Amino acid sequence: MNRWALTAVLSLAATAIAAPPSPLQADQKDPSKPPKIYVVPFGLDGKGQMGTDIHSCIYEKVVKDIKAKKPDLVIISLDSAERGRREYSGAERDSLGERGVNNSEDMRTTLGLFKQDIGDIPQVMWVQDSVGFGTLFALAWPNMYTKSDARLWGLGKIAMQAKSNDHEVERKWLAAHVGISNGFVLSGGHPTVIGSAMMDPERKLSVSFKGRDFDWKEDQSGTFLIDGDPQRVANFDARSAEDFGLSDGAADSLEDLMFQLGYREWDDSLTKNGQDGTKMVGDYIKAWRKVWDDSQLAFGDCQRAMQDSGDSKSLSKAKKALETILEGINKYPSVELRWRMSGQGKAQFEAMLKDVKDKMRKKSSSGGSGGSGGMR
Amino acid sequence: MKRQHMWAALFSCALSAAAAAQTTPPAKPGAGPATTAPAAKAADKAADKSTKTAGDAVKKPRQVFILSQKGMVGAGLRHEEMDKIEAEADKFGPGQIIILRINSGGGSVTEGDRISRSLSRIREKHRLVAWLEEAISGAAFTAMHCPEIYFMKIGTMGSITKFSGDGSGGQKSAEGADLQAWIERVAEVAEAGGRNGQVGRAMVYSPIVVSYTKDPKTGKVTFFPDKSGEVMLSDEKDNLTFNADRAVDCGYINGVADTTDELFAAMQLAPGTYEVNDAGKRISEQWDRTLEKAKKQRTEIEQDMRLASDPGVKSLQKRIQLYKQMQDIWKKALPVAEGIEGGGPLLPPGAEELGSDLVEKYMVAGSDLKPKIACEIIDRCIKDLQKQLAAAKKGA
Repeated sequence: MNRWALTAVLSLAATAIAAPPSPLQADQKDPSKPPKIYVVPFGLDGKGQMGTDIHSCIYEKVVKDIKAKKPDLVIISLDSAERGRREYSGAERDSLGERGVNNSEDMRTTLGLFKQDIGDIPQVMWVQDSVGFGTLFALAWPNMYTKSDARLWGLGKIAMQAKSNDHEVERKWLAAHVGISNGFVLSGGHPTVIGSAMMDPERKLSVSFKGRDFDWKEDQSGTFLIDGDPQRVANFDARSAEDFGLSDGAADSLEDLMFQLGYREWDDSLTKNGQDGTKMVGDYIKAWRKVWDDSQLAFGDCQRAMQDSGDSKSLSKAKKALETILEGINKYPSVELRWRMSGQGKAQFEAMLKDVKDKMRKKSSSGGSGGSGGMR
Repeated sequence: MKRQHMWAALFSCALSAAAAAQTTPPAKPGAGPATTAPAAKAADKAADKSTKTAGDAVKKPRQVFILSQKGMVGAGLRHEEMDKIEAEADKFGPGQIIILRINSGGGSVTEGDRISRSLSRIREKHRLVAWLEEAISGAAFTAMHCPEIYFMKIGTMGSITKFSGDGSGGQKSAEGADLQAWIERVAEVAEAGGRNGQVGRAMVYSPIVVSYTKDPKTGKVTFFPDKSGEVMLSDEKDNLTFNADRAVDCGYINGVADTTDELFAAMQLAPGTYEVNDAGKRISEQWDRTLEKAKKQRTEIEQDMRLASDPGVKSLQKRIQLYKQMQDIWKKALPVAEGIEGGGPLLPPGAEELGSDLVEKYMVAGSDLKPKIACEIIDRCIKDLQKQLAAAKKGA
């Protein structure tokens, strides 16, 4: 083989090995460098309740950290399924307290943090599993990948929340919630007809191919019927999401995802050394949940103390318990939300604390030996 | 189901005559960059006149006021702040720019009437713009008064169905003449803002249908009060609520902007021709603070009332103090005192017995009179407590 032929063969081989760089890499400040990645969990280790585990208060901190560390690619890993793999499985996440909360205001805050505050950094949504309100986040990013067994299920809860004895009132609230939620769908560049079918059981959904594009229809006239059941909302799984262009592909590991994105090498120093959002979010979830558990125990203590004789010692116990509850509420909006979900609010605890303090004051002014506990 | 169809038929008959004529395109069709609305042009001319004087070659930059209106209509979204910003804008002459940044799920219908009066007046003098994150129900009604509307990408507007409490904790939508009047009211507001009325009607009552066809060459949009248009905007099941895509496509709004820079560009504000005035921020922040403080104060009063319920001297003194604080809230933060966001009117226990005549007056009074009447009721309660206090002191 002469020298020219060898050069040609080598260059062909090199072309075959070196795939074109990812379009995302081309957006980097220095496209020649392997991208530094930063993973942000939206839900972690099966704990992904919308409104608590996934709340803007932690993402404000994460986005601040991203700004400081300046990664080239942000990977948002969504794991927010408010229903177990098997329906009515009785798993923890099926309990009422673990159901997602419709807080579009807070979701918009979170979305704004990522899309506006760090909108110049390429971002990818990677769905581990999503059922309920989390799906709005899944659809809010145009670059979306899923795990091969991920669900991308709709939001039947919206129609349930809109239920009313008055037909027009029901239509009003349903339209309002669907409209508000479709803002997220639109933000990801998807047609709102998909979102509507994923929220309003009466909406049908089908799709046809128009060349390489998808032509979504609000009826059953498309080539592929996605949802024709008036009792259920439209759901997707990893396969159908990819087939119909909602997701860009399936990836079961970070390596898979990076390959899918067209990267052959990347800088995972932040991820490997616990310097990305995984630790921050994980610590936050553990912390608020511990405070919630302590808060519930404190409430039990408080109730027992209040049932006691009303002596200084029990009042003091009740005071301490109520202070613990309020401290948790003030520290974590998630704890406050959990209390509200169980029918008790901050104002109620504040009133109880005032009441206890008042009783303690009266006791001490009437000559009680505050705190001596059973000495008399 | 049969009854629904009957309603639909009834209303489509009644409304089709009025709606059929409304096939004119909206002020600014198309998804492209916004053009200046007629009302804005009028405001621009007024501004030119007021800012050009003999020998004054340089035009004064126009003031841009951004007034954030968030929360319930009647609490966080109110005509009072709009009036205040109007007064600030008036100081610079006509043709200033007032942007209402709205994020609200609706609220009081009566406040909607007051907002309507304020905005109808303001738009005659200044360039009035709505910038929407969420505008549902009364907030959509508010936005439709503005000759220019921009959405955030995530924005939404619609669902203007009127309802009230049904007396048993549920909600009851307007019916009959009340419904008919509300449908037409919303349509009028839409038209006065330069938009199609049928679209407004479809936001009120779900059986009302609206579709549109867009001329691919001219971008001219024609609305239809039936399904004959190429794009179905709202079918007989739907209570119309816009997202940015459809709203832009049918020209119902002027554009989409997520940031103030994007908004100013969409509004075609040339650099150097305007300056952002912080009065809007100041006014909305001031009201937010007042509202928050009053809410906290109300909670504290209600908590303390429970603790001071015995007939002892100290408790009576405390209650007098708390009643005076109630009056303070009535004077400073009416929505909190009225209990718009829940809790009902802030009145002492037993107020109905001591001031039954005034309570009756209160029930039918407008919001402008309510604080005065409520304070009178509380005055009576204070006097009663003072008598009790005197007796308690004597007894002691």
